[in-house]
Amino acid sequence: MRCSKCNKTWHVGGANCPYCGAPAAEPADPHPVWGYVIGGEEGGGQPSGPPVISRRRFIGGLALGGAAAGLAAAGYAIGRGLLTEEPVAPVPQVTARYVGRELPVDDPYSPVWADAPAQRVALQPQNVVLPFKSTPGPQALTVRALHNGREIAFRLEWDDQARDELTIKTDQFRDACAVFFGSPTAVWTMGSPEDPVTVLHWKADWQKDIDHGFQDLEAAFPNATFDFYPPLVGVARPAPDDYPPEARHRLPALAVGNPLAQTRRPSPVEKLQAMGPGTISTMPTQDARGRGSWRDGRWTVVLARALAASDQGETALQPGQSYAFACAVWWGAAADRGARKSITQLGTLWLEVGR
Amino acid sequence: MPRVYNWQIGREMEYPFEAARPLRQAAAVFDINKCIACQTCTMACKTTWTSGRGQEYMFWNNVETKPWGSYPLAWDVRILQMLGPQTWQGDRYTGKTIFEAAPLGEKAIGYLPEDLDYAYPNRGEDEISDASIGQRFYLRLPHDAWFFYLPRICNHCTYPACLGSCPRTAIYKRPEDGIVLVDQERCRGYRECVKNCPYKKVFYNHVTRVAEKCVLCYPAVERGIQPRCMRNCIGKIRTFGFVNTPDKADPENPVDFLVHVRKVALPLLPQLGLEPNVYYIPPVHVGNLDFLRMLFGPGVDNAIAAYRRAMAGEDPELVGVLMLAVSTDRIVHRFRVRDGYAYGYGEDGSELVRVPLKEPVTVRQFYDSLVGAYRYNVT
Repeated sequence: MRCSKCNKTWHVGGANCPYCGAPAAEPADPHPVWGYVIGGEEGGGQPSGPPVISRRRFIGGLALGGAAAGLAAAGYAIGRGLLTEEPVAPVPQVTARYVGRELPVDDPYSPVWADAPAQRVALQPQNVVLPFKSTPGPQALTVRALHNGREIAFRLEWDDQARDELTIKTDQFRDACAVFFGSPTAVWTMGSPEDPVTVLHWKADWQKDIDHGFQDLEAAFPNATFDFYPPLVGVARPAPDDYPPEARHRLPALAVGNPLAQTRRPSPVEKLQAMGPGTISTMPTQDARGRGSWRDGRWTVVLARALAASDQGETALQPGQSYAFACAVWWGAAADRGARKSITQLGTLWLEVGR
Repeated sequence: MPRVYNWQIGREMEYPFEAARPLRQAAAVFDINKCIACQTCTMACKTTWTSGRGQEYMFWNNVETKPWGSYPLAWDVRILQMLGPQTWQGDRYTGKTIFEAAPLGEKAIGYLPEDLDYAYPNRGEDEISDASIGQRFYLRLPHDAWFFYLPRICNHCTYPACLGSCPRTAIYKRPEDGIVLVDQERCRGYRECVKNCPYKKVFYNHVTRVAEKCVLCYPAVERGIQPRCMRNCIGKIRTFGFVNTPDKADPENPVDFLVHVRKVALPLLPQLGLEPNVYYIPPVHVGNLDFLRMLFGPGVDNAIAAYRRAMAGEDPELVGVLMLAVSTDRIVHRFRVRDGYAYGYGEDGSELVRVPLKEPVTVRQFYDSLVGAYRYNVT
């Protein structure tokens, strides 16, 4: 964000300038955005201040989270909004701001993100498709989006005190987040065969594999001992990549090319297509990019993709157009995975026309 | 949920999918009375399928000691505890299955084991049921103090909980033989199957980060050969074949004969509602029949009586079927007992094996004149 008075920029915190305290000077949004926008003109003159995680909000959210199954989603979000200290939009209405420069895909904390209007959106436990999420989860996430006419990038932020980056043990689950977008008629429940949606899914364990190398057995079991793994006789610390091609069947999912089982990942963001619950599938061309970082109990994650589609059935994006849009967050510590997730309502994504 | 018929509990029950029985169902009968826990089955499987990195504590086949042993730790106690006390009325189960007991938002009850639960595959090995027996202890049958071995593989259930709970339908049951498989390309490692399989026979691979399970050596079964764990059974406790539903039971089919005709072979924890297809001949010397009824259902008393009759020489047909176990690598589709021999036939009707009901005995001379030495063993 950029200060209306001293013209300095900042990328974390609220709508007030951390240097001089003046409100942010976001350019006026030329199209209607329903809901609350931190730092945008909806909040203009009434800045909400920096995000504060208060006990009151957490407990209130939990209590309401427990009752959420029986409530209409909008009522749930508004009810929770009353208990929070920040405005929380019940439905995502995200504007992808045009910037005439490279997008900060690899830097979640880049000051360029201040150019994008932020929206804090309510999350609710997924309870439409079995299995439900029945554990506590984040109350809301903050969404921003930028595009430069060639590529679009989303930045998602949410609170998570536990940092879950390993999926090695049977009961270890990853932190993750995702955005989905599709045609304006796409349905909330992961699209439909007639109207598939495109999903960008960031995974904390993939990020760790990329940042620190493949997280092998010893990352979770540091004292593991073994005689040998056939046919790797005499290999002191064998890694999956040490397996010769003729022995790769001993790592079955890796051998058959399961994208979840690969040891070398070009990106922490997986590009998927969905045509309804349980249909999610990795797209042939994996060209989504991104980066996630955890700092002080908060994940900040960038997910990016070219505006143009590279695979059949993939949703292409065009400036000036609106799309169905939703986000999801997984808390690994709460055993979130698959449908056990915190989701936003189905909203819209609008791509600003280049100036 | 749709309603399906489960003959093992004598009634319809709820299941996430419509009933779709395979053309034929691969099945096995394990005679617990003969198992010696040599773990040859375990190692035959381990060296064939799970010697890779990430599969260190993964045993698709394991042999545990009952009542105290279990792998993973307390799998049976925990699921029975979650289910709570339930009831049978005769052969009809009037309690709740794991699908019917599912809370809101779940497809079945279940729990996800922790890693340490897998770390003691032989915990409780050879521990007797009751160590507090007084000094005056007389051996009698059935035994006051007892234990027995329970060899376990995936049951390739008719209504698998793993399949029913996979959000991605990455688990499928083959229509040609009923073998349940995890699609290694499609699985995304959610572990709903690991959580909901009450027998805990779906495992998480620590390196590939997806689920894996017993494949019943399907490449062998497709060629008419028995799975590795069956072929290598030292105690010859395992009969492998195909099982029919009771209304289509074929008395010449070894598995049908044991399960439906003589009813000596019983499913493991039928009350869970999965219609498992590995059957057990219960141990006849266990002093606590209630424990056996809990494990194998209400057919225990009849099964023990039938087995005792056979051991007393009153049922040569049953003896013959059991003698055919592990007598050939090929899958025996039909059998016949005639003139002191049990004959096993393949799918095309050709004779695969013949086994005498009584081992022939030959007594040799004490002195071997050919080599000019005395024999230590003459039989």
